[in-house]
Amino acid sequence: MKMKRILTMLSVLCIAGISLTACKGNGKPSGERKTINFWYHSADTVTDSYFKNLFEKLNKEQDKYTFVYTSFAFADFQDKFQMAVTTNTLPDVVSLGFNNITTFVAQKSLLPLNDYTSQIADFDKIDKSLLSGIKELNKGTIYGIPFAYNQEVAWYNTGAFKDKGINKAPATQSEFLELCKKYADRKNGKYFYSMRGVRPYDSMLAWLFTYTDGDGYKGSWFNTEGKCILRDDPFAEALDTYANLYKKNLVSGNSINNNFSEVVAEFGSGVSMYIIHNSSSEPTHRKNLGEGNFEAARVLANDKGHYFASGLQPNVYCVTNLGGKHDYTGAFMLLSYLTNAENEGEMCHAVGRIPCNVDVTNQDWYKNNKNMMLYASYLTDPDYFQIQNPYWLSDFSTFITDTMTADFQAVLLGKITSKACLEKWADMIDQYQTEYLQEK
Amino acid sequence: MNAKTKIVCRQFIFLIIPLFVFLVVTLFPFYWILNTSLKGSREIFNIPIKYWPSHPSFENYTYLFRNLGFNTYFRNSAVVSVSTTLLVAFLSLLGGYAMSRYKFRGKSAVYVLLLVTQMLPAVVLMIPLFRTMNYLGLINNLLSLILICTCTNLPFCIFLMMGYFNAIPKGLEEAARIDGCSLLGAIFRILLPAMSPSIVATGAYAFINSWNVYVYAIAFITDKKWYTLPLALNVFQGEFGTEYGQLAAGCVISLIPVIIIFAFIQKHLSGGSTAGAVKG
Repeated sequence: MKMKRILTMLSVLCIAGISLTACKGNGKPSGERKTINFWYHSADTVTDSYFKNLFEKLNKEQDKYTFVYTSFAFADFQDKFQMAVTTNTLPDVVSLGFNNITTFVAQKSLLPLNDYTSQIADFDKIDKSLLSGIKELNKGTIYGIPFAYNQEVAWYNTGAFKDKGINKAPATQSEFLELCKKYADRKNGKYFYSMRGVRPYDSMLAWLFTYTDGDGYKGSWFNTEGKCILRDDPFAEALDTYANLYKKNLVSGNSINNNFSEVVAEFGSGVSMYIIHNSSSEPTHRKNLGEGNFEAARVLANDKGHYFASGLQPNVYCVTNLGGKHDYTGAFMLLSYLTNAENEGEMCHAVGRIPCNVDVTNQDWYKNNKNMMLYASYLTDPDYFQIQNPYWLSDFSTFITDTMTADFQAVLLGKITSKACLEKWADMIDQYQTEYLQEK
Repeated sequence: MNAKTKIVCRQFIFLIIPLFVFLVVTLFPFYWILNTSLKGSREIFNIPIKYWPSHPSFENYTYLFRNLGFNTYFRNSAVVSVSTTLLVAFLSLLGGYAMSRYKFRGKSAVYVLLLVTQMLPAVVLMIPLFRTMNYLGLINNLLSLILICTCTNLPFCIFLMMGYFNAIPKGLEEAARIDGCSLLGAIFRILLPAMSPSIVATGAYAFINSWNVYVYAIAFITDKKWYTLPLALNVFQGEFGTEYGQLAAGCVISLIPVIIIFAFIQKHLSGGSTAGAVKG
């Protein structure tokens, strides 16, 4: 009986204690620093180290705000951000990948920045073509400030080239096709090129648009009537030429299942000596092949000297939408700090990305980096055309990752013709575009 | 062929070979993870594939502990798992006993409620639980994971214990009560030793579930110093590539405690503890 009373009293006390913990005050003593939270979307040891040092420095330099850095694994970030949107626990400033912008804009979780550009110190220094890409996504509204991007390039194995007596990387698609035919050695499992069969969109689209010279539309997916140009006959011929690399055994039989890792594996292990991938794979090649054993080259041009590559898709810093009455001064202070030439240059140098602040191009590390010079040369080359992938279509990301993969593999296997495949894609894009314009 | 040879042949064809194939298929991924963890990044992508590294090294393992602070993540996972296991074992023992031995008003409702909790996937509960933990100030606190893991494992463990208690004759504790033992004394001094295999099995179940907890960890933990192993392993999947060697090494490290626990509890899982406990 006694024990029962004691247990009852303990239970009541526990419940009361738990109830009291739910009561917490919201008051803050005046004069305390306001906390500004920053989330970085793709953690690794290099970026963590960079941002931690940067934030320590920033917190020492002023006493109005405490800037807090939190990083996430790339695989987790989207779920985490979604949850923050749902539970109203958004950070103040966040970095995002280009592909995520439209999703979070649709959820009204990002602040439109057009009226705040005067609060971003180096706004006028951001590369205009990169900024226009961001604007195009969202009907002219800027939702993020680009800070780093990758460029599509060709990578080649200098040792293998020397052994084969190849003096330089192919400059045109015609030269490339000749080299593929010449150096395909199926018996020994060696080839000139590694094709990507899974998520092939960047290299495949570059091939199609370059081969057809964009069908005269300079990188746009749509003709003057607003219809998708992929169904036009030159594109079918272009896709046939590309798919024949696989059908005629000029690339490895594994190509149909090659994703980025497998393409890099073939390149790193000597199965192939030339691949097309963006500048972000440089550290991987350095690990696999060693410094000095590979080089970057410009992507392939057509016989007119024109070359096409997917539009620049920079990572961006965004200010989250915390309501009309929220004071965003601290957020913009952080945004200005992150995007100034000194800090952006340091970050891009550390992680090997191309900066978006044009003042960074005057820094020594940039001027002395041969690859950076190559990446940047595209933007000032009149023969370069950006493929204006319609990322404003909400289904586009799924289309390029899933639909394009399955259909391209079907073309490689001969299950559908290139013409049928491209007509299907054109129909789908037209449908998405119609729905988008109706919503607009 | 005589009868004995026929039996042996039949056993070989219908038992040994299928078991062997099953074993190979089951163990191959573990072997491959170990193999990958001992390779450098160049060798991982070698074509043709290497089934054992030419120069096995522990570089990936040392990198995890030296550069990434994997010991911290390991410690966090251990804290969550051990705490959850102890809490679940204790509470499910008492809860299982009550559900097995007592008839009380609302027992079927309790039974159904315990069942219903098992029908809700973690992702459905993630957001409301996050709000609760945020309000309680338990975000970035391992206590949030301990509480949630205990609550999510408890219903099933109570069922387990209930089943184990049902299998034990009431005569055991009645005999103890007749001899002057209290109820709690009967449970902990008489039933507990008889139930030790069951408790170990229940504890192992709770340990493995809490060791692997991911969905709630993603929701409640954002500060790297409180990351558990499943969260830490995700860091290797970057935006532009995956560090397969380090990821494999991390997976091996995560597997070790689970393998040790299973090896340890094997002997405790064998039955027969209650045989002959009640004589006459």
